[in-house]
Amino acid sequence: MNALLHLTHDCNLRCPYCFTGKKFDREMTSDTAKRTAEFVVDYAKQHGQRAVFSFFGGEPMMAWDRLREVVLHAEAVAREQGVVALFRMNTNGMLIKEEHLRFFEEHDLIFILSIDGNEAMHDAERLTEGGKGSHHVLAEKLPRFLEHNPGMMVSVVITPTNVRHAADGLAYLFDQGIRYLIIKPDVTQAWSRDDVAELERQYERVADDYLERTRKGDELYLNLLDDKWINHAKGAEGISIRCDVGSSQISISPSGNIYPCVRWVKEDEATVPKLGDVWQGLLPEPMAKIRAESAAPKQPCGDCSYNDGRCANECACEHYSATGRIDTPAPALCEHERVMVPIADRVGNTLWRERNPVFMQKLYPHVSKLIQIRVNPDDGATP
Amino acid sequence: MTTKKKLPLAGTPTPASAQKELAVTPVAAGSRPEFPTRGELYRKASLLGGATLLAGSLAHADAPAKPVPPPPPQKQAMPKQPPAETPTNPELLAAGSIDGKPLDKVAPKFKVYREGGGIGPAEDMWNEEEVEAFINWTMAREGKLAIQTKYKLELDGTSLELDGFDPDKNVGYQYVDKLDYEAKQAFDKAVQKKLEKWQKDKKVAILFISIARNPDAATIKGKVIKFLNGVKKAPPQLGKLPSPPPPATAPAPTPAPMPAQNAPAKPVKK
Repeated sequence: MNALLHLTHDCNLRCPYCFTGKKFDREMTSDTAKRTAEFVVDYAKQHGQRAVFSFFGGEPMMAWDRLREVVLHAEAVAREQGVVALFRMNTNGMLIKEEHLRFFEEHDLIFILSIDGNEAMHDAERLTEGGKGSHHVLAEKLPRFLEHNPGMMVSVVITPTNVRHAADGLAYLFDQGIRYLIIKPDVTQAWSRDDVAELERQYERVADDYLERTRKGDELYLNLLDDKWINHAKGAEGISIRCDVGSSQISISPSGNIYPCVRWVKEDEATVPKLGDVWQGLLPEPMAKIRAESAAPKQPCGDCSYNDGRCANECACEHYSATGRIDTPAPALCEHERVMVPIADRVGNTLWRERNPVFMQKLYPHVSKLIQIRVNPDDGATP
Repeated sequence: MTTKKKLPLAGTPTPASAQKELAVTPVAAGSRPEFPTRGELYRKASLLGGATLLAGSLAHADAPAKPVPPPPPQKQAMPKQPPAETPTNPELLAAGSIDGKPLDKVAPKFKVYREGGGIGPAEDMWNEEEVEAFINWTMAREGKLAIQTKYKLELDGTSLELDGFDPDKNVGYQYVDKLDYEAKQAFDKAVQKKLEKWQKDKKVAILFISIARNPDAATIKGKVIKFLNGVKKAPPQLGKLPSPPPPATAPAPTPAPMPAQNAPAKPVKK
């Protein structure tokens, strides 16, 4: 059970692309927080799963006391029930201080940082309430964050507004020592044909940069490339990156209502499909409905040659947000993938032809070990 | 729940119907990866070029579809290595062994990698067996131990299956992976106390390894060396313990078997 917890609707930033609805100061109560922890652990226990608590937006650090309370209570309940509890957080990082990092260390809470590249790219979208850029705050904190977790994952949103800075922006992040990047295009914005052409130019540069860094031996993860390769390498039956909405993922709002995923929560006014609440539990009927819709083939992707795991058309809540249906992707997403899949194939093919050790290790870990033995028999490494 | 203030809406999505310049257009014949799926590679090792030279499961792979490229020249010029020592060489075994076989020259590696993504961070993954292989090697090499894996220890009315144990020297270890709940139960606090007492009483010395974060080779090696230094100062005096019955099937010779596609790995947080 991966429970995405929205502890507050409030946020200290006003990013125009934010999909989590209005920002207002409504925080989960202590009672609801405790009940939420118990509900998630109980569910995990019943289904033989791990209880994963992912704190999500509004900005979770604005509800720090509540977050702390949930972690401590969830740990205690999980210990009693014999369930493994894991903690995650998506954060803009602005409010994280040393004391928080200590807590994360102690409780193994991993956070994923939202930072949109370099200053030009980041400040094009990620503004404070007063309309000022926020990059300089993060630039100062970044080295400490990476010291805290060298494998820190970063989330970047690409929009028509910041796309022209994308290649430089992502290179900046790699240069800072970030190795794991999740790039999400905002497919709910009005991309023009020119924007898509610019996207392609930028992605070609990103891909070339990634290629060069990989040739130098850097072990990077860029979802735009790696996910497509891994899904292809694993084959259709083994695709690991799927949407788990309605199956093992839920979103819990400050009121304790349960929604299928993060984009459904919005202002939490029960105007969107609800799957239950933490007091009564999950309602079987809407759960079954959303599960069936999520598992249904995407329309009209059936005949598309990229619909073999390489196209990132799996995100139900993204589709819902753009088209109102979870089985119908947004035009902007399709355009994005038609740009990205050939680029990913080009880079993957190049690395394969070169038998690049990093690439081989990622895609074929056990075979890779054997190749190294063959090539360098005197290193003594037998499998 | 309290509502103190209401701030403006941050963003407004553009519905797909308003994305006039764009379209969902299935691609009839787009680009294709040249690199194989894992299944294809395992089934047809010739895809690697010359990989059919390898022993183990790849040795049974299909014949190459086309001539394989020659190995790089500098590798051809390399002097031949002396044949590997046989497991019966007592000198070699004295330097440490695992299940009666001498140690490889270098420690086996385990890899922590990431999979997944989307809303949450991708998961750190590793293979617990690979971690145990590393500990077996490190214990055997650093302590000159004859490690027997999956050793059933019966002592003072307690029955335990240890990941590795040398019944001649009464030294071994148990690794409990963070998410291995069964092992956590089997080696709970009471059992851990028992292990400590046995060591204090110089009966057996068993290193209990449980790492809160991702396993890493340096940390594990440090723990092993520290433990073995302690054992050297106060070695167990119990005498030889009875050997467990031999396993039903002899362990396969080199190399390690190729795992099935998508062999289960442990997703663990950092």
